[in-house]
Order: sequence, then C-alpha cells, then structure tokens
Amino acid sequence: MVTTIIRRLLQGLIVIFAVMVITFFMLRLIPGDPSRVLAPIATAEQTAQLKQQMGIGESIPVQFGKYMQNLFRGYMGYSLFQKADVTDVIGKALPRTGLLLLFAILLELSFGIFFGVLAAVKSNTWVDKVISGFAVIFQSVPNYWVSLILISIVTVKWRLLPSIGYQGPIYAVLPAIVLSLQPTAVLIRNIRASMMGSLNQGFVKAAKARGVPWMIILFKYAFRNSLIPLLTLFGAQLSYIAGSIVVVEYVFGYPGIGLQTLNAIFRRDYFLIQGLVVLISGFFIVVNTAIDIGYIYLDPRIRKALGGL
Amino acid sequence: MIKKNKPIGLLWKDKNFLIGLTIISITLFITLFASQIVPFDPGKVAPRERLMPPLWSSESTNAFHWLGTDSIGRDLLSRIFLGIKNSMAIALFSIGVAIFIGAVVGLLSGLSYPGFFDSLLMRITDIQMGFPFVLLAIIILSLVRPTVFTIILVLSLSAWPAYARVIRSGVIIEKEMDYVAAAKILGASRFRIAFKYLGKNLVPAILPVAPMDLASIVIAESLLSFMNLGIQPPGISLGNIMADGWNYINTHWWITALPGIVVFIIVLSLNLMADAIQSVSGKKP
Repeated sequence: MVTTIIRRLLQGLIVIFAVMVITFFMLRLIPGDPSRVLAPIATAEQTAQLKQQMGIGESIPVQFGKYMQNLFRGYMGYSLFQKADVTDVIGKALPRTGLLLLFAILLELSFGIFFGVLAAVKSNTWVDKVISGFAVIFQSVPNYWVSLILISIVTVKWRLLPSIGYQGPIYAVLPAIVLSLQPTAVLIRNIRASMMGSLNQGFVKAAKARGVPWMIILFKYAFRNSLIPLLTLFGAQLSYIAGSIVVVEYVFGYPGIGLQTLNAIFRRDYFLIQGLVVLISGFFIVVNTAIDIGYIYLDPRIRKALGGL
Repeated sequence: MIKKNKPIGLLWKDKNFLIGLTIISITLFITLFASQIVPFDPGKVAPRERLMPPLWSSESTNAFHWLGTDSIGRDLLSRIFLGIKNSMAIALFSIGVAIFIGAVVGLLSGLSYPGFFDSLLMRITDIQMGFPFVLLAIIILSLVRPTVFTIILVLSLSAWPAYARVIRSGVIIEKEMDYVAAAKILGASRFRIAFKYLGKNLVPAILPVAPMDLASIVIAESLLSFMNLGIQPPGISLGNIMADGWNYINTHWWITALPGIVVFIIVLSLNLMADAIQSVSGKKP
C-alpha cells in the first residue's frame, strides 16, 4: 500500500520534470519575445540589456543549465513583470485560489449530496422534478456569463457581497458560488441516478425488512455503494473546475493562480509560466494519487487484493 | 453495450426532446439564413443611436431596434443573429472534425489492439482528458493567431478523445465476432471490414454524446471570443458581443445579458436532447 503510493508519487515527479523540460523549450522556441512585451519600442541595445536582466540573454542550453541549477537550490527564477520572485508570486496567489477551491468544493459536496439524495428518495415526485430541472439549468449556464450577471446584481446593485479583486476571504464567496454551479448540477444528477439504482437492490430491501433505521440504510448502505462511481466523477470534475477557475478569476479579477497563469501566458512571463506548470501538474498528480487511494479505501475487494491498509 | 433497447420512436413522445429539437431547429434556421433575415446591417455604426434600450423597456424611444443597440449604435438583434450563425457554424464544424479525428484514432487503435500503438494512443487520450481543456485552448490561441481555422481546430481538441475511446471499444468487441472471421475467410480486405465496423459503431456511439459535446463546444467558443481569443472583431460571435457590453453592464445590462441567454438556451436545448437520447439508448449516467 505505502509502496504503491510512493511509487505513484515518484512516477509523478518524473512526469512533472518532463512537463517542465517540454515547457521550457517550447516557450523559447515559439514566436513571441517577453522583452518586446515589456518594452515594445526599445532599441536593439536596450532589448539585449533587458534580456540579460530577465534571465533570457544567453543561448537556450545555457539558460536551461542555469535554470536547473537554481531549481535544485529551490529558486524558481524572477518575474520582471511582477518585480518579484516566482516563488513569492505563487506563494501569494496560491492561498487565495486554495480558498476559492475549498469554498467551491464544500458548496458542491453539501448541495450536491443533499439534493441528489433527496431527488433519489423522492424520485418522480414534484420535489425530484424541481431539483432535476434546476440541475439541468445550472448545467447549461455559461460560467463566465453568470459571473458577469452576479457581479452586476449582487455586488453592484444590491451591495450584498463584495467581489472584484481580493481584500479578504469574503471576496471568494461569489466566485466560489459560480465555480460550484455546474459541478453541483452534475453531482446531483449522478447521485440521483446511482442512489436510485442502489435503493432498488436486494440488500436495501433486506435491510428494510430487518428493521434497520431508514437513515442508516440511506447513508451507510445505499450512499456508500454509490461512492465509487462518484469518486471517478469527482476526479474528472477537478480538471473541469481547474479550467473554470481560470475563467472565473479572469472575470472577477480575483488575483489567484488562474489569473496569474493568464497574465503570465499573455505576457510570455517565462519563469512564472514554468513555475506555474510545475505547480499545476504537481497538483493533478497528488489529486489523482489521492483518488486512487480513495478507491482502495472504499472498495473492500481492491483493499483485500492489496493486503489491507 | 446498449442495455435496454427501447425503440428510437420513443424520442418523438419525449416532451423535453421535442422542446430541444424545436429550439435547435430554429437555431439552425438562423444559422443558415441569418444574413437574409436580419433587419439591419449588423456592422453599421450609428453614433446617434447608441445604447438604445430594448422595445419592452419603458425608456424605449424607437420601434425599429427590437433589442436596442450597442455602444456604437449597432442593432443588437441583428448582431445576435449573426453571432448565432458564426458561433453555431464554428461549433458544428468543430464537432465534425472531432468526430472524424476520434473515428480515425479509435479505429486505428482498436484494430491494432493489443499493441504498442494502441497503448500510445490511449495514453495520449488519457493526458488530454485529464488536462483542463479551457486552459489548453487559451494557451494555444494566445500563441497562434485566432482565425476561423485555428479556432475550429482547437475546439475539436476538446472532444475527440471521448469518441476515439468509444469507437475503439466498439471495434475491439466487434473484431472478435464470428461474422468478421467469416468475412476474412471470404476474402474481404481489412479496409472493407474496417469500414463495416465503423459504419456499424459510429452512429450508436456518437449519437448519445454528440449533442452534449456540441453544447460544451458552444460554451467554449463563446468563452474564447469573450476573452478576445476567438472570432476577432469585426467578426461577430455571441462571446464578443458580451465582451463589448461588459463595460456597460451596470447601466445597459441587456447588451451582455441577451447573448448570454441565447447561449444558455442553445446549450440547454442540446442537453435536453442528449438526456432524452441517452435514456432511450439506455446510457443514462
């Protein structure tokens, strides 16, 4: 078990390294010059000087050697656009995006599980129809458009929740709501479908006949049985949410990892892009490993095959 | 693969499917004939008529611009029609390209299963399905100049892996069937057999997923245009109408709200159709 995790994480490290090397060379080989972005009307001499300052003056292999050396010392380079070390830029943006992600996932799980189970229990009544109707609607709304509308109504017109920019955790609430809409809708529909399947199965009827309390049947028997497909779904959703974070942070002007990534790409901020690529691919590897561990934990058959936890 | 085979005819009794189909038919009609039916030239600037409210508003001062005008006096209804046309055309082409790539890769992969080529192709689809598509699209389109061609290509990237997998698994199952062995003995060429698998598997494999993928492509296209990475002005897309209206959203909300509602209705209709098709073909999630 532990060796499996360690092996997965080591494989992950190799993947991160490969992704980083590819990004490094691709950035420098495609057209577009960051010194031109920073100073569009500089003389050739000034451009050369600026390139030295940005750390992109030498030939590409020399740059790569230096970058690797620095990386092993834990230094990820300097972003001249932000006038800060890459680690500082990321260190500042990461907690904000973490907060956003945390709020969004909490919203998704609480609303998704509650309404999904409710819809399954009350299947084919008006309760189910209302919940399923809202789920289809939220699944279809473009998230950037909802962001625009919510900023305009909730923040500007009603002055209910501040948003746009970041001056405290409260600024994460509105973007988190937008971020959670589509995943919540998908979760509701999936929980409803799989719970309806479980509730019709023999072991639930048997438990009912034995007089096991309804709540225990619902959550300990039926819901637990639906958890494995949901774990797969959740893994797929994280990739969707990661994409949405970029969009939502852009519209809300929320200075997190998503907005930094966009700015870094638009300005060709090489070192920042490299740092962010390492961060993002690392995140996905950790999450995917965690999901695999989740399978082992949830499915007794896999757990047994691996010789217990 | 198909669990309970209800007749396709049931679709015609599904209310949601019919609603979706009606709206999508109207959308397709607009896509085909937008240039003929628009009341105004969607690119005509009229500074004196700028930011006119829509007809239903009490402040409405004219009877010509049904949905009002934008910040430089262009007729919003005409722009939305042209936006629907461009956005839908791009989305339809993209899904076509995605299905084509998916079919080719799926077929090659399925035929060479088990083998190195197959596992290579499947790992590529793995990576692609795990990577946030929006981010990929933004990166590519900020590096290459967004043209109709590049936009279609990038949008098709989002959908092809799913088709490749479905078609591959279909081919792998079909390959072992007796009739294939019989066809081989009878001397049918590999090529001919491959086309037979494809014909047999393509439609049932793509029909339940295609409307949903089309829906996400419509959203992605409008998003890219909204972020100035899609159709470039003076070209019109539902997304860049919203981007134009963004500056005026607090005073003239309809410029941003209306194109968004159009995107929402199109996507909702496609999702309703996809749901109905999936429940008929027994592929409910």
